[in-house]
Amino acid sequence: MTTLRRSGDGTARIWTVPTSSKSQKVQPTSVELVHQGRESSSKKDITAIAWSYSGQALSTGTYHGDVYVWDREGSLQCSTALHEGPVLALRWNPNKGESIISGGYDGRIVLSDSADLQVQQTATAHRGAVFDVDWRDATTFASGGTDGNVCVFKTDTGVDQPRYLRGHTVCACVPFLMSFLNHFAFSF
Amino acid sequence: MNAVAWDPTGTLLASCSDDRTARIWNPDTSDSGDVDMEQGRADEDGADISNGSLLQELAEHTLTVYDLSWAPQSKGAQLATASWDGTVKLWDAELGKCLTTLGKHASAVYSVAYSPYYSMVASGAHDRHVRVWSAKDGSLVRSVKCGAGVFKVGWSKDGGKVVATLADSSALVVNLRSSNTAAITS
Repeated sequence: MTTLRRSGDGTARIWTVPTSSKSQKVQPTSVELVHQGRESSSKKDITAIAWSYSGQALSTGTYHGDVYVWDREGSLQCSTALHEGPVLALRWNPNKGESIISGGYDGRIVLSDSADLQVQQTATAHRGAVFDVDWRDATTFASGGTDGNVCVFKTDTGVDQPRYLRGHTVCACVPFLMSFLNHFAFSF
Repeated sequence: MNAVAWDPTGTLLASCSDDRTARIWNPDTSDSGDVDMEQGRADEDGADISNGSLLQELAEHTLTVYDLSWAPQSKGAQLATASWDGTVKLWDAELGKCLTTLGKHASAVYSVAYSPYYSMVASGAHDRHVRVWSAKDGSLVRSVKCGAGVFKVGWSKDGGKVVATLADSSALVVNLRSSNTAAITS
């Protein structure tokens, strides 16, 4: 069983937890995902993580708006700056994992190619941070933002014309609690 | 807006928010039954808005709804919500009806997740407990006291383990098939 974990010290690790029903003590092992660039010197948080659906690759997003793609052994495949400010949401396309959507504190949603993080489409549908995104199928996804809106996008017709679902009152929040949140994703 | 998620069939969309509600949407419908987006109303930015696709408003929590989780497809349109009011509620999302309230946490519940099998739900809260419940009758199956507040819980794909990440930067793996727990500290 493998879990991916990000922490508040600017690092993320892939942990392998042995399956054992006999011994009481289980010793997990880990490999660190070394984020070069702004994160390594400032020790700012890794703010988002997501495994691909196949479990063969994973993606991390950082406080400074960079997105990284790794293989499941922890080797860096590519990285690039996609947002101005923290990446708050990250999800792989559920079909063949050929694209990734990222949602940021900058209110932008970016659809990029998972092989090289080339930007395919960008949406600025929210007035405020994008807190969550979820794929419905290979070409449709939804997003939620601090503006209280839920938007539904279709990648094949262009993400510049989403469907707005309004009803929630304004989210004053902020779990900027999110910047201290430990988050993980399972895979195996 | 704290979380948004599609149900396993991709038909319904759930969202939850600081306004103490969760909402269930069916984006493929509108109040006029017309799915042509150009017929819809527009707001001041000219964007199409379609409030008619709101199916249900789940409004029984008394504080922020922070997390939500859909039940696996075999369970129908069942949804769990986690709230800062200390409770987890299980809902029939199509009827908008609360089926069960799981009320043993002493403070804000930050995370909830359905097991991929076995009709179980895991919750993690500020009160330092991970709890596993039966989704059928709401009974408590397992309760684990952790060293710090619990921010997030999740299940292994076989439904045999729950992992929780904690406020002290560690994680805990709870093996439901035995009494083992494994601590992960950096």
